[in-house]
This record gives sequence, structure tokens and C-alpha cells, in this order.
Amino acid sequence: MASLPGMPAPLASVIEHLSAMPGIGPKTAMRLAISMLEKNRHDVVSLAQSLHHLHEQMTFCERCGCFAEKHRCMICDAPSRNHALICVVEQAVDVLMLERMQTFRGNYHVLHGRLSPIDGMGVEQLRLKSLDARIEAGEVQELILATSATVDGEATAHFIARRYAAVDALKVSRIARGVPEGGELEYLDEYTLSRALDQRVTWD
Amino acid sequence: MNIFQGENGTGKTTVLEAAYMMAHGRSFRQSRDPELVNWQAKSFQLESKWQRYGPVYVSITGKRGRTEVKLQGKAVAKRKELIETLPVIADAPQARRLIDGVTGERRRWLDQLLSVCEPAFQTHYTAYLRAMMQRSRLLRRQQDDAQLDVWEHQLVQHGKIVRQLRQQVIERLNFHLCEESSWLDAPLEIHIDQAEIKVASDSSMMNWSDALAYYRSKDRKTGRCSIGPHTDTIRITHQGREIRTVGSRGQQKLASIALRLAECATRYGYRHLWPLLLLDDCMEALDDKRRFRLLLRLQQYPGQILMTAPNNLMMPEDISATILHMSEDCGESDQQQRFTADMEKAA
Ligand SMILES: [Zn+2]
Repeated sequence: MASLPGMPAPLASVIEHLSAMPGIGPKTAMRLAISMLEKNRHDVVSLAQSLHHLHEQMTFCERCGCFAEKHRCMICDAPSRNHALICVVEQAVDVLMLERMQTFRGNYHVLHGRLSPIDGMGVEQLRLKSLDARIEAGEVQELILATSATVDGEATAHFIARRYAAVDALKVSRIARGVPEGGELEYLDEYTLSRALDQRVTWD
Repeated sequence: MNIFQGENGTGKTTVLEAAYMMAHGRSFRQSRDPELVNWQAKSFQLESKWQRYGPVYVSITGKRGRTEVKLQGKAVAKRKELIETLPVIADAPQARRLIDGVTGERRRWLDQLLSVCEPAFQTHYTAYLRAMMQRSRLLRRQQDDAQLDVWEHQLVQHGKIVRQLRQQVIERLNFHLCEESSWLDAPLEIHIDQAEIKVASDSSMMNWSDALAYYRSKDRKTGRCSIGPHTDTIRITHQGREIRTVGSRGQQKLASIALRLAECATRYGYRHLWPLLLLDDCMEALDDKRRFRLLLRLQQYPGQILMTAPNNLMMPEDISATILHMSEDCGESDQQQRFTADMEKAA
């Protein structure tokens, strides 16, 4: 990309930065860079400022580990939410996805990873000590384990369930897996189907 | 039934190999075969039209060991897509050795059949292997048992389904093998054996999870996982004894073909398409009586068969087959062989 003859250095620099982003190839990077050049100056400076602020102003909530502007996130601070219900997820972005549905009223706990010894992720690398502290404080009634449905995610969920199995009056649950919304039964494998059957819910 | 006859070096096997390549994107030769290197070094272009429910066009271009496969004019990213579209099964001296090979060969054969017939198999086997890898890594790090427990739990969960699916397909294969017994010297059966897990002190069997925990210290030293479906052995027996050790060359040859026929019937059971059956050198080591029995049986096959045979093959009158004589000038030197195959449509 940078070797393109006649490419001025400032433009080449923007293109290289953009093409280093996930999901952006060199062609898209070039299109984006050119379009920024063609936009009015104010918009582009404003974008540059947002980028500048991203790392300065964004941090992780020290309680739940999701994205926050200060040391505590809006979810942990909201009095209207149920602080006795905690949904455990792997990454901060999972919280954003779950929040999009606007129906879950509990709190979160982000592990910042999942167990995977081959990637160097063990118990020490997960944010479990802070979860221990939240549970020891005695305010938690239910943990919903929402780690991914992969082998690693399942092992992580299983590990956490066992870790808190002996805690009195703490309910630990796992999000249901099975038939996806809009999924036709004929395209599901037996394992998924039998899981969906095991986790059936009563019609009410 | 199509029979290719000709002297060695006239490219009989190459025709079969080309047909196999069309369905698998690679040769049936195993990696140790020097001929494979020959294939890979060459540039070649294969074009074919198959008749399934409608026409299926496949083309393969090979250049310096890299092959590009196109199905209906579109590039195929995964070989599996091709294998599922065109069922082709081969028995050849250079192919996977089901009868006299090591046990891993038979297990891989079974797993390959399963991954075509049962889409869930691949998912669970991959998950099983991942859990096994995670456990091995943890063992090497001397980590605590609580973490090992959860990986072993995953290992058992997926491993159980792997074994269950293998058992199911073996039952189907045995059912079809039973149907083959009339033309064989003796009926054949496939068995799968799980490594026995016994505690040294008494002879009672351990459950799988306990056994994994029991083997931790040994596995830590070896870096491997001692037990599980990846170590299960598959035996093919003949009146209770392993044909690998008791069968004559002729009996082993027939057994090998009977297995392929059972494999074809099993695949038909799942996918409702009779595979194209490729038999290279299948008359070798057979006396005239056995040859006749085999030909009679092959004639009953509902799908298409391509086979090679020696020049001296006496064709009995009751057998109807198309015989193609191959000579030097249409042999391997010609890299653009045209070849059309029809597969029996689902009944
Ligand atoms: Zn928070």
C-alpha cells in the first residue's frame, strides 16, 4: 500500500492505520481515507478528537469490568437495576450486545477472557477474585453464566458453577442453548436438538 | 460395471485416480506413496461432468502441488463440500489399508465415513480433541485439579457422543456386512474396542472421569492422553478371529472389497446416493472361483463401478460389463483425459 507511487505520506499514513483494523482491507482503507479527505474539515477533526478521547476517557468499571467512563459504569450505578442478579460474560462487548435487548435488568460481571490453557488463560487470568468479593459481600442471589457455547466457554461456565456451588442461597444458572430464533428443526444436529429438549420450558 | 484392462503403465490406475480426485480434491494415494509426489509435481487439468439428479460439473487444476477445485464453475473452499456432493469410494493397493494397515487407519476410515454421514460427529470430535489439548497443556503446567476436572468433564461429554456415533455406524456397517456373507468365505464383523480401564488393586472397571483422573500423573509424563476414543481400536474379524492375522491374501482382498460395499450401502442409507465405487487391482491374489463370485456380486451393485483388471481376466458369460482396453498411446502421457461417469439416481 505504502509503496504506491506518488502517494503523499499523510494519506499513506491514514491508509496504513486503517488497514491495520480488523475487517478493513487495503482497498476499503483507501476509500475511507479518500472520503475523509473529501469531507469538510470540521467533521474530520471531530472524528480525530473522539479517537483521541477514546483511550483517555474510556476505562473498565472496577466493579463489573465492562466499559465505563469513570471508575464505575452506569449499570452498576443505576439504582433501578437489580444488583442481586449478575450475568457473567466473557468480554465487555458481550455486555453491549446484551444491553441492546433492553430487557435484562440485572448487573454484569465481565471475566475478560475464558479458560483456555493453550492460550495461556487459566483461572488466575480471569476476573474471578472480584467476583468472589461481590459474592462474599452477600448481595448476590443469582449468577447467570452467559459464556459462549464452545468447549472453552462450557468449561469456564462449569468451573464457575463449581466454584460457587457451596455458597448458601446463591442460585447459579446457565443460559439456555438450543433452537435459534427462526431456526428450522430439520437443520439442527441431534446434539443441539436433544439439548433443546432437555432445556424445554413449560408453556404458561 | 466398467472394467479397464491393459498392461502396466497404460494408465489404468490413473483413470481411477482421476475419478477419485474429482470427488475428494486429492488422490487416494497415501502420503508415503512416491507416485503421489509425481502427481503433485505435475501440472494437470481435469474436467468432468457427473450425472446425479442433474449434471454436476467438476474441474480440478493442479500446479506445483497446489490444486484448485471448482464445482459447478464455483471455487470450492472446503474439500468436504465436494465429498458430500459426489460420493466416491475407492479400494486400491495404494489407498488406505483397511485390512492389513495399523489400527489408526481403520479408525480414520470410520471417522471419515461418519463425518460425511453424521454432521454432528465432526463438531463433537473437534470439541473432544480441543478439550484433550487443553487438559494436556494444563497437566504440563502442573496446575490444580479443579481446572483439570472441568476439562475432563468436557472431554467425557463430547467423547461419549463420539463413541455413541461410532457405535451406531458400526452397527449399520455390520448389518450390511452380514448381507455380503453369501459370497465371502466366512462372514465378517467389525468390532470397536475401548482400552480397558482397570485399577491395579482390583479388577473392577473405572468410570471414564475417574480413569482420567487416575491417569493424570502418567499423562503428565508422556504428554499424551492415555484413554478415550482417540485410542479405541477397530478390528475386522472373521469367525471371531482378526482377518489381519488369520486371512489368506485372497480372503483379505475379498474382505477389503466387502467392507467397501458395506460402506457404500451405509452411505446410501444416510444420503440416498449410491457411491461410485473404484476398485483398483481387485482381482489380484484371487483364484478363478473367487473372481467369479466377486464379479457376480459386483454386477448386483446398484451404483456404478470402475475397476481395473489384468489382461488375462477371463470374463464369464453371465457377467455383463463394459470392457475398455487401454494401450500406451492413451495412457499417462495424455494429461487431458476425458471421462464421464453416471451415478445411479436415488431410487
Ligand atoms: Zn460496572
